[in-house]
Amino acid sequence: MPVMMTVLAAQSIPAVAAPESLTVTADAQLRFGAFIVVSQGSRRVSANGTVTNDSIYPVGNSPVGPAQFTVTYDRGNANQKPLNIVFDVSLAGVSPVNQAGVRGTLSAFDSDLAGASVLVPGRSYRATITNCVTRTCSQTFRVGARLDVSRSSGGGVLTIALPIVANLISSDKL
Amino acid sequence: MKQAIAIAVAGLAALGFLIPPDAAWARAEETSATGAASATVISPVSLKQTADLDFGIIAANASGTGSVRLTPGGGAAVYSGSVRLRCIGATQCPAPHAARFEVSGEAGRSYVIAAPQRIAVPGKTATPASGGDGLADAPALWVEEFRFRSASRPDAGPAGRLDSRGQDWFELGGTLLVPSALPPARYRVSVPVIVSYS
Repeated sequence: MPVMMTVLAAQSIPAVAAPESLTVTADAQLRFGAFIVVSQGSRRVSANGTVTNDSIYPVGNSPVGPAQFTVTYDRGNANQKPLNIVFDVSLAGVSPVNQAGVRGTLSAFDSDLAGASVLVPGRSYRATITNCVTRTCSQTFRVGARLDVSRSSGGGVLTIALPIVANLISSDKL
Repeated sequence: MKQAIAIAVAGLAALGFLIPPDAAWARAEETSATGAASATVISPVSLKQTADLDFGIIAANASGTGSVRLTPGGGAAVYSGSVRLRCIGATQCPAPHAARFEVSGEAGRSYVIAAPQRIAVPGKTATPASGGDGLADAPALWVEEFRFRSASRPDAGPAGRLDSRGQDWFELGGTLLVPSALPPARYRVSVPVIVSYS
């Protein structure tokens, strides 16, 4: 009996393991394009690409579109079985920016992530990648928002950080 | 027997430690990425008129027609047909001149200018209208062939480019067509001029 236990332990020693990991990447900026604002106005770019203007005047053909992020799960070399990957996504706080005489504020975030059509900064949204059968599986989602601009003088380029956080909750075998 | 039991317990403990991670695990792995939202906010272009397009005081033969052409850029008025510059008095003889506009907006941006192809200019005679309500109308004149000359791009026609301070200016000229048999009258009209970024 003691001999059998020793053999079992030796067979269970794993090879050098690549651990599982979760990463999120920013693939595309949330692009509001170029526009004229007399004193104040807003432009909404939705996750589905819909653009709505209020008291702004687009100029030229500068690209406009939602931000895009990709969450990627890498199972390492732990197993080869189908997995359901559960993770939480949140948008951290987004601060207004001031550029000379122009102030920009983001609000009313939305996304095309299932269950997160409305994104409230600081709140977590659960998402699942089902039946992951390859080493890496990913989910791409888009984020839109409304940009309110108030202008007292001049113009400028506004850049506002969009910090996205993803937490791996579980990777269950099917 | 005591020794066997002790080894068995040790073996189980080792076995428990080596259980591969087949079961579900609660995790707290966190990853983040910072995207960005970007917008280019452009200062609106604005236009300020600083001089009228003024064809001056003219006279024409009763049976003749003609025109007055004002070229932007400081050129003298060109009279054709029976039309001539005519001063009423020695002290009232304003020199014809092109209109002038100042443009301001986003530094370095180009702009274009738009104006009507031609515009009718209503006139009022010096005689009372029938019925005594104001002055009588005169036949309308026409101004056409509007021409532009900006300080930044004088040969570009209706276009210019704002300098590093976001400033520029342009002049507007045109041609006044004068029909025959006009009564003495005064003519005035507002010409819509639109400037937009190109």
